[in-house]
Amino acid sequence: MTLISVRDLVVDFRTSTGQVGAVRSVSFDLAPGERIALVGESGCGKTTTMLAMMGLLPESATVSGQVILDGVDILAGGESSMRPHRWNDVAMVFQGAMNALNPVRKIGNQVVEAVRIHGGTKRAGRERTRELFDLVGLGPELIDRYPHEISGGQRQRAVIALALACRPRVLLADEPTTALDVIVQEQIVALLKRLSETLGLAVVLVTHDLALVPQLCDRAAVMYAGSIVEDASCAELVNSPAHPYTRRLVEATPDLEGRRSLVSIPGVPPRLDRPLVGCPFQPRCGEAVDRCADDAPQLLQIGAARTCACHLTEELV
Amino acid sequence: MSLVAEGLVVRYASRGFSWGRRSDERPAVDGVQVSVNKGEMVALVGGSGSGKSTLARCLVGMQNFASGKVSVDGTDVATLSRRETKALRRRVQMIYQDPYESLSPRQRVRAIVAEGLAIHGVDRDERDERVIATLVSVGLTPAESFLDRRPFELSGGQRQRVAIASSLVLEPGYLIADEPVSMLDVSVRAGVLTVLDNLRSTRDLGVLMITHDLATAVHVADRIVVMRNGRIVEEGTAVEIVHSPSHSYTKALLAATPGFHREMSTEAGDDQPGHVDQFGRAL
Amino acid sequence: MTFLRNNPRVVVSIGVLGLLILIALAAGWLAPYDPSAQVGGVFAAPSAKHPFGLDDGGHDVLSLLLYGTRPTLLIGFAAGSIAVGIGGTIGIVSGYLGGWTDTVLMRITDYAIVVPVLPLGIVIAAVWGTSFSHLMLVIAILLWTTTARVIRTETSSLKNRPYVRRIRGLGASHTRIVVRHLLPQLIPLLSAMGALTVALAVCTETALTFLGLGDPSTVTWGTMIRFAFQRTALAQGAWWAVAPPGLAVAGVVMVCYWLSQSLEETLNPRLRVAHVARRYFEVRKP
Repeated sequence: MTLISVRDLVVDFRTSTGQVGAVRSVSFDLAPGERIALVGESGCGKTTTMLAMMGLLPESATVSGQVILDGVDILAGGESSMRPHRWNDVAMVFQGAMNALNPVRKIGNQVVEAVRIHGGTKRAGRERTRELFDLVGLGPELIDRYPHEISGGQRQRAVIALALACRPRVLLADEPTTALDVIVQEQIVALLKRLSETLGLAVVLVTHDLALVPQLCDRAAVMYAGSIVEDASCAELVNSPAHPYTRRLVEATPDLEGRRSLVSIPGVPPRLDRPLVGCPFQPRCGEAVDRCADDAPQLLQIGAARTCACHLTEELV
Repeated sequence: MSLVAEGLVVRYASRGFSWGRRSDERPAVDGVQVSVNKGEMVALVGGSGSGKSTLARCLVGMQNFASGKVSVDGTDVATLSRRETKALRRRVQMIYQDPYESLSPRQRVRAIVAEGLAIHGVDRDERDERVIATLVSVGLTPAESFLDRRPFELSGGQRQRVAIASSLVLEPGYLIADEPVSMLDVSVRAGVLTVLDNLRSTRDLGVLMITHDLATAVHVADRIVVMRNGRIVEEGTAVEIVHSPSHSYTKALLAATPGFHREMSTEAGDDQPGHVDQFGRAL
Repeated sequence: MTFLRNNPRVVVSIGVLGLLILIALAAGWLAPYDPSAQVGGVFAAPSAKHPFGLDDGGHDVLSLLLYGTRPTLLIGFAAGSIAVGIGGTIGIVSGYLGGWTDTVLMRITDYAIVVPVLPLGIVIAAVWGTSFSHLMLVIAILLWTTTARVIRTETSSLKNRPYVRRIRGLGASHTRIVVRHLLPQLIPLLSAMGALTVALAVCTETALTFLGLGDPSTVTWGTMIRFAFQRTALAQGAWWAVAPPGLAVAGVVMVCYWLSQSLEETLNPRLRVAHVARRYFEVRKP
C-alpha cells in the first residue's frame, strides 16, 4: 500500500534570465517503512523535489503535479492544504544541521517549540523532547545545550529529533551526512535505518554520494537535469546499471578495493533555463545514437519495479 | 628531495585570558612526523579535528608551530631570513577545498593564473605564454577560450583546475591539496585527481593530498597517512592500509567508508583486471 | 541602454543628483532674482512672479533655494568624501592588520562615535567662531565612524577568504593584496557608505546652520529655515518660507539613500542572485 505518492511534479523558477525548469516531471511512490534515495549531482533537482513535497519553495517557484498523501493531493490547495501536514505527516532533515538549528536557542527548546507550533503544550513538548533525544541517541544532558556546544554528529541527531517531533510518517533527509566524519556518517545512516524500521517511517534520502545509498535505502531514483533517468533497487543500480549516466556515476564513485578505474564524465550538465531537446544526457553520453539528440526518451518500465529513460534500453521494455 | 615535517606541535590559540594553561588541552598537532618526496602522492586521511589541515598549513608556512621543524629539500624553514622564506614559499603551494571561494570573483582567468608571475616580476609577454602553457597542462583546452572568462562562468571542476594552474605557474616543487575534490561532483572528481597525478609524474611534484575520504585516497595515493586527534596513527601503502590495517582507528575508518565493494562484481568489459588502480599501478 | 534597464534606481538617483549639481553650478543663471535683493513685502505669498513666495526680508524664496543648493551640496559632498576617505582608510587598515592596530583604531572610533554632533558644533563655533570651514571640520571629524566600522568588518571578512589566503601563499605583498584584490571588492560598500554619509552630512549641515553655527553671510537651506523660524514664519502662516528648503533637504537625503541602496546591489552582483541553488542558478552575463 502506498503511503505517499509524487506524480508528475514539475517545478519552474522565475529568474532574471528567464524560466528555469528545475524539476521536469518526477514521480515515485513510497510505502510505509520504504526508503528511497534521490541520487544526482548538483543542480539535478533532487533538493527542489523534496522542498516541493513540503511546500517550502520560494515565491519565484511554480509547482505543478500532485503529492498524494492518504489519497488526498496535499499540493492542490497550496499553503493551506500543505500546512496541516507539514511536520505532522511529512518532516524534513535539512542539509547542514547548523543551518537548521537556531544558534541562540538551546536545542531542547527548539524541539519544544516544534511541538508547540503544532498544537502541543509546553509540558508535552518537554516530555516529547526527552523521548526524542533518547530515540536518536542523545543524552538528556544535551537538552540544555546550545548548538555550538555539541559536535557535528550530535547536531545532526538533534535535527533528526526535531524532524520527528510530531511523529511524521514520511521523513525527507537532505544530504544528512555531508560535512560529517565518515565514522559519524555511518552512525547517522544506521540511526535513520533503525528509526525507519522501528517507527515504520518512509524515508526519502537526497544525496550526491551513490556509495551511501545502498547503506540506507532499498531503492534509488537517479536524477539528471530535473528528471528521473533510472529508478531501480539499489542492488540492480550498482551491479547492473541500465542508464549510461548511472553507469558513469558508478564508475566515478571510488570504493576501497580500487578495482575499477575512476572515471569522470566530460562536459557539464545542460542549462535548465532553456527547453531541453532530446535526451538531456546525450552530449556527454558516449553511447548516444542519432535518435538521442532529437527524441527525449520516456521513463519506461524495463523490469519488475524498474524503470529507465533511455533509448538504448527500450528493447528491454 | 622532500618536504619534511618533524616533531611538529601546534597548540590551539588560547582564547581570552585563562588562569594558567589547562593541562588537559590536547595540541592540535601533537608531535607529527610526515614527509612527501618528489614524484610521490601522499594522502593524509583523517576526520575533522584530526589536525590534518593544521598540519598542511604548517607545511605551507601559514601556521606557526610551538615546536618541531619543517624542511623543504633539506633546508630548515626556521633558519631562513624573511626574504629567503618568501622565495621558499614559491616551492610549496596550496590548493584549497572550496572551488567557489578560492578564485577572486572579479578577476578573469588570465589575471588569476598570472597573479603569481606578476608578483614575482615576470614581464607581460612571457606571462601570457606561461599562462597558456599552464592552462593546457591542467587540461583546460582550448586555453585561449578560458583566458577571458570569470570564475562564475566556470564549473566547479574547471575552477579547481584554474586554482591548480595559478599555483603551478610558480613551478613549485610540492603541492598541498586540501580536500581538492570534496566539494566537487563525483563525476568530475576523477578529472581533477588525474590532473594532480599527471603533474606529479610529468613535473616530479610531491603532492600531499588531504582528505577525509579513504576511498579516494586508496585510488590515487602511493602512501596513506592516517591521522587522529593530532597524531599519526598509521602509515602505509594503499594495499597495506586496506588489506592489513593495524590501528583500530584505521579499521574503524575502513569499516565506515561506504562503498560498493561488498556488492560489486566485475563487469564484463572491465579492463582493469585484478588489483590495479586507475593509474596502472599494482595495488 | 541595457544598464538603464537593468539598474533603473541607480540611473535615476545619479540623474537627480546630477541635476542638483547642475542647479548648484547654474544658480546664477537659473534664479529669476538676486537672492539678496528685496523684491517685495515680508512673507509675501506665492504668486505667478514668485512661485515660492518671499521670505522674511522680502527676498525671492525660489532664488534663495537655487543659490542655497551650492553651499549645501558643497558641504555635503566635501564632508562626505572626507569622511569616507578617513573612514575607509581606517577601516581597511584596521580590518586588514587586525591585532593591536585593530583594537586601538576601533577604540578611537568608539570614542568618536560617542561624541554628539551638535554640541561639538556649538563648542567649536563658540571657541573659534562660526564659519563654513568649521562646519566642514565638525562634520568630517564625526561622520567617518560608521564607515570605518563597516569597512573594517568587511575587510576583515574578506581577508580570510580562501582566495586572499591563496594569493598570500603566492607571495603577494600586503599592499598588493589591499590595492589589487580587496579594494575592488570594497568599492560597492564604500560607494554605498559614501552616499549615506553625504546624506548625513547634508542633514547635519542643515541642522548646524539652523542652530546658527554656520556662516551667517552664506545662504544655505539651513539658514533659510533658520531665518524663517526666527521671524516666526509659521505663526504668520508663511509656510512657503520653510517648506521648500525643508523638502529640498529631505529630497537630497532620500535620493542619496536610494543611491546608496541601489549602488551596492548593482556593483555587487552576488546580491541579486536568486538564492535557490547558488551554484546553478547564478545569473550568467552574456
